[in-house]
Amino acid sequence: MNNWKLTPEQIEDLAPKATAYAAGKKLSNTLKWESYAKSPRALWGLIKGSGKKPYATQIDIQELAFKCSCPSRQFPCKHALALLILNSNEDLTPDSEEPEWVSEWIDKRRNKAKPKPAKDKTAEEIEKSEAGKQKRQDERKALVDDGVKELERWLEDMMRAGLLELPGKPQSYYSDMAARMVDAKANGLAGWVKALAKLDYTHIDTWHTQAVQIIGKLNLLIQSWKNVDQLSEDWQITLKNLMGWSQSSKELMQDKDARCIKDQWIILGQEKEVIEDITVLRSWLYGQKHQQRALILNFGTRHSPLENSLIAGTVMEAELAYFPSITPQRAIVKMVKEQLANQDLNMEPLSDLTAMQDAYNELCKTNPWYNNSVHIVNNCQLITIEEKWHLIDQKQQTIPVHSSFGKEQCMQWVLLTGNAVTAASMVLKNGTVLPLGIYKQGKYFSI
Amino acid sequence: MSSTNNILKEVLLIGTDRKPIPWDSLPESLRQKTQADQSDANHLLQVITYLTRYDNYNTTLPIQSNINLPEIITDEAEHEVNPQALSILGEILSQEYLLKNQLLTEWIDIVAQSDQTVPYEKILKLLDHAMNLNMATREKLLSIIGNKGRYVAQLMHADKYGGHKELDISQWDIANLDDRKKLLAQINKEKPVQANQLLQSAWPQSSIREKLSLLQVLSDNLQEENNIWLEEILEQEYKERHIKQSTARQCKLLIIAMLLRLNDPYLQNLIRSNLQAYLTKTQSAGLMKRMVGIKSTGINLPNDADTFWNGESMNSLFGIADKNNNIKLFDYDPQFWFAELIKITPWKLLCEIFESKSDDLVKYLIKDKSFITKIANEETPILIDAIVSNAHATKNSELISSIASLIDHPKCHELCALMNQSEFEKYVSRHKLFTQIDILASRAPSLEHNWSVHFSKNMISELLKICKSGKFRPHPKFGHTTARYFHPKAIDHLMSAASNFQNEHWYSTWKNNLVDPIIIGMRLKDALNQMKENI
Repeated sequence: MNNWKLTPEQIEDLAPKATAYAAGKKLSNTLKWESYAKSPRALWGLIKGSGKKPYATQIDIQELAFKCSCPSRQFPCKHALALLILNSNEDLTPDSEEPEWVSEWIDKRRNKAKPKPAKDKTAEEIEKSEAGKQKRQDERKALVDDGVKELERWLEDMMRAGLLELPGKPQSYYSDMAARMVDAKANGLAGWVKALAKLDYTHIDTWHTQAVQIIGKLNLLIQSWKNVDQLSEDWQITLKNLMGWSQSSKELMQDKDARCIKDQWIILGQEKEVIEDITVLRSWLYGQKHQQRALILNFGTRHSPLENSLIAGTVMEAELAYFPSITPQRAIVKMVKEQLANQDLNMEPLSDLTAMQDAYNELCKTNPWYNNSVHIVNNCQLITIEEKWHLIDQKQQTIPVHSSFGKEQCMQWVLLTGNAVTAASMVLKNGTVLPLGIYKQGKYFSI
Repeated sequence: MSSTNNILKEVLLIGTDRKPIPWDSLPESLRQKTQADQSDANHLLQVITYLTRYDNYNTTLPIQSNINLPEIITDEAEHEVNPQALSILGEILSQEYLLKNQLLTEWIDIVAQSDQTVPYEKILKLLDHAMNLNMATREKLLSIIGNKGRYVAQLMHADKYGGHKELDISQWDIANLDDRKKLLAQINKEKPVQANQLLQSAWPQSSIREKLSLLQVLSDNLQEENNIWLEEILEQEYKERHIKQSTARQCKLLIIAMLLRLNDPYLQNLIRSNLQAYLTKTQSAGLMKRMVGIKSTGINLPNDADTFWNGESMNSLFGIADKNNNIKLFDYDPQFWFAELIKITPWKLLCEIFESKSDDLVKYLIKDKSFITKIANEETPILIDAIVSNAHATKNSELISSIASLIDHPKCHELCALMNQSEFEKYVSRHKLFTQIDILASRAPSLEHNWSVHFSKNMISELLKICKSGKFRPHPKFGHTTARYFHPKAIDHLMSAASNFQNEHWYSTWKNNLVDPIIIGMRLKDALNQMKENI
């Protein structure tokens, strides 16, 4: 921990924008800083800005968090990035005494992380609160039920008219129904309708297969919802999530019964996607002791910048709490014990791509809506078939690489493997794979 | 299930209103999934839901046959550069491009000499940043990134790194012109006799433009041993022949210029004997010279063509153009031919012929009335171009020194790159060129400080004056350029100069655009020097 440093590549990944990283790099010169120091818990510095007072920048290096007095809305700001770069260039000894402004912030963070004792409520207050909650749930369910009925009729009309009508439909055909589902508080259903609208109807060979897939899964969700009250609690939560019920990280953090796993978590990789003005950062984790996987989601909007404290390729000793589901996958970081320096890792890869597909099929048997499953797979090679990148295993089974995995990343793969077969981590999504990193000789290299 | 899908596909596409579900063709298991009271549309919806679910957990991956797997690239275990060197690299890459390019070139050079390799995670970035460096550095970079790096370089930037081949003499016959030029330059440095043989073999099949290109390469890398081949080719193709075609004539001129540089006695005598016929002796201008009776040698050029100064002789003897192609500058054709002769005649030979020292000859050729014309009412020396061109070709240090100290003409700025350090500093100071970034950047920098302490301090003082007068404001590029050459011992002077600015804006401009880049540059140069010792 004492010599904790991030590589320039990892700091670049952490930057919200390439320009922020470039600006941070310029400020990483020691001459720019009035002072800077490091303790076992924190890294901090004072840097002259445009105002009279210097900006105070601080980084919690145990649980990776940033704070700066500059007015930037980027997160981490260029000053925090500069401080990280400076730390990676210089040999800062973590023996400085934290100034008050740093120790106060770190202590506050540590106290905040501890679960607060629940307020003692009277039986009457509890009953009232539960009743209110139940009432809100019932009202919402009634709205969703109405939406579900309407959507089912819409799908039946589609079956009557035939799918060949779809390419000629105006966008309002889909957007009106999606809006109706949003009104019915079933954002999850709206997402499926939008997926139908987004199909590329110029691809005559593929669009109807994709449309049938979406309609099939959507109708399965509708039919399942009709029986939701008869299902187990886990199933009820799973279906509610699929319908659009949101999950509270705050509640999960305080839930004593939540499924929690302590492990040395490898951050396999990250994927950033912008969906209607919301930036979603998906971080894929793998626990090397229990071989469990986890997905951490972070969101950013125009008004609240994306906050991320996970860095691909790093390892942390931490406790994760999983959101309840029939197939638990999404989690939050409940507590970080420490960031671990580069060490030999233990991953247990599946034998090949076939084994990965089989594993995914099994997941689908349990949860038919399961998507974006992460796997560690052995015996993979990156090849091109008709100028498109694919992974191939030794049985010659192939799977296309997801379009977001660009040429530069493919070249990183080649640099790491020299075209030889390798074990790799990847996300299986919609019939394609998104490679996250390479695992060789006990080391993990994120791409 | 795929046959079932096909049966249902038609119904799905055109709808149950137009085509009923063919229940009899569907398997019993599917028929059981529906209820009697449902509409056809609802039936179809349930059936495809069931099929989709089944398909989803029975997905198999396609098997591709006849796939050409890519070749496996392996790297021999080599030492990777240490983290400190990588940290220096990181800082270098964040600098402005002039300073970055200089320091990156040095960094690559140091690593290449150490036989170490760059770790994989830096390779793509390095390839990207080094794309605009010169070919030699790019080739050095390819030598430090291992087989995998070289493979990727070709895939990513084939235009910049694709040309990397270990050229050897056996490839001469099949090589294209660019490769031949590289090969010729390389071989002529080490084995000029072999280079002569290569030229000999290529000459008959080469086009006239290719011949000129190869001769230019030879001229830039000339060796004594090239004399034999040049004489031969002059004898066979050009000697005492009138050449009409312009490119062929340029080839001849270049061959003669090279032979003259190699002290070819025939050509040197040809020039000496012909010029001597026009030399005159006049009383020297200086009092001392007059007292001891020293006479100066000059040249009396005819106004019209004569037996030597005529288009036919100039072309057939030297490959010089038949006609004066700059009538604005040269009033008479012999002046033009004389200027062309100055360009190719070694300066030492000219001094001998004129029995003059270098400074005196430069003065004479620049200041004598017979070599001055009026253009737009301004007196213009007509031989400056020729003299500067001679300095470029022969790199004669005496001549460069004479030009630097005696001529005040913008044309001479281009010789700054060839001047020695002291001449350069005097030249810049005399002409007050402290803000001329192109001139300052024209000299190849090195890791050692290039400017003297005195010049570095003087530069800061002068810049301060210019800045205070509001005529110049240092910009980041200027600071980064200065950082490449500045002497570390002048840093205090630089820092104290900053205190001269009362205005906060000027202070921060001076500090951010000049002081900081210089200090960063100094630090990185020091770091590279240390890296050189420790790697």
